[in-house]
Amino acid sequence: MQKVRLSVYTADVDTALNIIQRAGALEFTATTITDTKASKVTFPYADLLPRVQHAVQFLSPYAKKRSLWRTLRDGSQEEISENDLAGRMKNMDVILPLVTDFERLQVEFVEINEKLRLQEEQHRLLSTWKELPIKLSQLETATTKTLLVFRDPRGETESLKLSLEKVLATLPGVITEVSDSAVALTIAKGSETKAAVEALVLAVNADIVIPPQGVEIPDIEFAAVSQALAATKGELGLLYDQAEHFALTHLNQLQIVGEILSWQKDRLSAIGDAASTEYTVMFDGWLNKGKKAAIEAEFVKKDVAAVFAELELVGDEQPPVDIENNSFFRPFEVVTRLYGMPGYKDLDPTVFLAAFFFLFFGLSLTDVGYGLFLMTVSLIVLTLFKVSAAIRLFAKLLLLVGFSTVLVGALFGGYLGVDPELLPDALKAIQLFDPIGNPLPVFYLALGLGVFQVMVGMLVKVYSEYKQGRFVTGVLDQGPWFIMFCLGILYLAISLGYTSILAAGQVISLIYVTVALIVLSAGRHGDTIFAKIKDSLSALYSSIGYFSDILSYSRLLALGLATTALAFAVNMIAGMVFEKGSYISYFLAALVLIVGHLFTLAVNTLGAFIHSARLQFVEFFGKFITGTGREFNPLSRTEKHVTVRDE
Amino acid sequence: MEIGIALVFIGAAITATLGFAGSAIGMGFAGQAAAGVVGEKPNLFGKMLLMQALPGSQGIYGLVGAFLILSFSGVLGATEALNISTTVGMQYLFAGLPIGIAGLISGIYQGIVAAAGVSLIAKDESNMGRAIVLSVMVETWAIFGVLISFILLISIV
Repeated sequence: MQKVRLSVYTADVDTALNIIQRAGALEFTATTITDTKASKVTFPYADLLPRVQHAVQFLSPYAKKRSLWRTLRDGSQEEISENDLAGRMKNMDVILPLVTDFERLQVEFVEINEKLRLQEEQHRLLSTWKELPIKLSQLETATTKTLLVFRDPRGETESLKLSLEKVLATLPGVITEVSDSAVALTIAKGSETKAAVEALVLAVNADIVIPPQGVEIPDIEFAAVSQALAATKGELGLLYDQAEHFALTHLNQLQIVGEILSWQKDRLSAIGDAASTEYTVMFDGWLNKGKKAAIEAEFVKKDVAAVFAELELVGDEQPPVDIENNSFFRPFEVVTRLYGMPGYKDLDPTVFLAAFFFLFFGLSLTDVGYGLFLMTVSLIVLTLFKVSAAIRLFAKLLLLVGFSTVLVGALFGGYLGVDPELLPDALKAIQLFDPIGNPLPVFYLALGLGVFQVMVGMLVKVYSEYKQGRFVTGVLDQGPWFIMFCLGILYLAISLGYTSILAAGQVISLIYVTVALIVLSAGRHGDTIFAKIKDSLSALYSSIGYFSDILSYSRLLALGLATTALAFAVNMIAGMVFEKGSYISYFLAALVLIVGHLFTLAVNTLGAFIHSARLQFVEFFGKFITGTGREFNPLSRTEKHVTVRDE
Repeated sequence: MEIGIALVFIGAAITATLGFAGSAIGMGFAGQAAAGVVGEKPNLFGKMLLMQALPGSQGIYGLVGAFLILSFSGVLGATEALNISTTVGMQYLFAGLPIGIAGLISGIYQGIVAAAGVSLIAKDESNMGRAIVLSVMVETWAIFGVLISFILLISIV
């Protein structure tokens, strides 16, 4: 990663940034240049973009839903060329009338919905007073006023009319009952009378309500409003049809335009951190060195006046980190990215973890059937479906670890939990381990792999130090421990009678010498004698760390056993159901087998992935990764609805 | 003789279930914290899943321990009646306790530390490595439990 300053001729800024955005190779930072002018370059569609985005958001629910199969088969993105993209940018004028049309449609929606709301409210009110025999225009005359009184009927034992009659005995008024909870109370006009009635109405827990609008009696008005309501609903239905048609014909176009404009907005927003002069805009940032030449070639091809200049790191400034591997190792970047980026001076661990992750996943699942299933699903996704680059990468990883599961499953005799005794002789012949009948060899194998990976971790650390010009430091730090591990293996081999190259006593003597080497090597860092002693003791304490690291690999045995045991249990349950001997039991047995094995596969695949990853993160990375880096976050295109193909 | 075999079974059962219980409680703590973070930041799901899985190791060690007890005692794969004395049965029972008890307690506490680690990652994703290391420090004692149980198992006479 290189710290750079990009200087671009003002008129070429958008083109230059477009090239950089497409390459996804430059992370912009705030420039250190001061005392410059504000840039003249602004986003030309600041008004149009939010309108397009709003139209897309509004119309999306009206778009016809695509089936999952079609989405997977055809992909969810439209593929366009770079020329097509440029053409669409030039023809942005055609979008404005489209958005205006949509906004007109939306205004109609608002008006009709408001009309509908008012009519529904009126309809609801009139339905309560339908039985009122008084014309609405005569609720108030020169001498009388009719009040509509309503009370919530819940919890009331007597009708509202009776309640009111009791309290209104002393006041003049005529009560017309509409229902048990609604009455019309006609009183003489006069503010004192009205105030007294209102107080009495409140005393019986009732309310005076606003009367419905209209002239005729409520029953006639109710019929008229019902008719109007039906007509408005019809109008709304037509608008829904228009919206669906609009979505069918224009939504895709609006989605693409919205996305293209968002890309332009993103790239031009980088100007906020840039410095400008009369004719130049200068950007600071971190450049992926590997893509520099291609970007510069594109500048020349498109006649863009832009140039990179390298900047020096300031103080303890740390560049962001990105990882890039060839196509074989790239799927394993999924595992590295799950952990996060290594420190910027560390090695990319992807290449080193790939083989171990491949093997450990297989050891954790250990079943040929499950491995074949994972491979089949991955191959279908890779060959038949159009999915995002991230999903393709994950499918490739699944294909590889599925293959590993098949290989390891064959060596462990794992075939969907089938009893190994029932397997054909050809399959029995390739079985090397029996994890259920005799788990100890698998336990030792798991620990052995742990020792091997820890030793590889030490060698990688030496290589990492070498890359940073500290080869001797690497050898002195890791060498004694590496020798100790080798001597431990040699001692074990001698004890078990595999070799007699040295006597056991001689190896023990060498181990004492190595312990001394560890102490001396670790003690060299301290400035004082006490610091040296402290460092030496700390180094010896590291042996506990190595012990716990290696024992942690025993999980490989447990995970493999768990898969076999669960698959065996599924088969046993299905067998018990099958033995009932009816068509229903055959069907149920098949169902138990399918659901049971899919469940086992899902649970154990997740476990195999997580624990294989954990062995890399905790037991392996700890040997050679010294820090955590900040992930490189370049200006790039976020492709949701449209993808631009390479030409 | 029968009591001896029963003690082996009890040993295997205790070893496994104490580990499972420790992991279940620990993963529960971590999972609660992780769910809260995923609600706010769904893109952290992968990292949160890993943090939740960390206290699951104790259950795995319990499973390994149970299998080792059954394997060392000869129960696993036995085709005829075994002759295990009460004393030897007791030895198998006690041999499983370091894994079981260390697994139970460290599983719970690892879950608490993992939950705190989840908050650490929520604040800054680049703290993932540190959060893992802090959590795994607690697991060290479960691993020592495995080691002692293994030494006890191979020392049974």
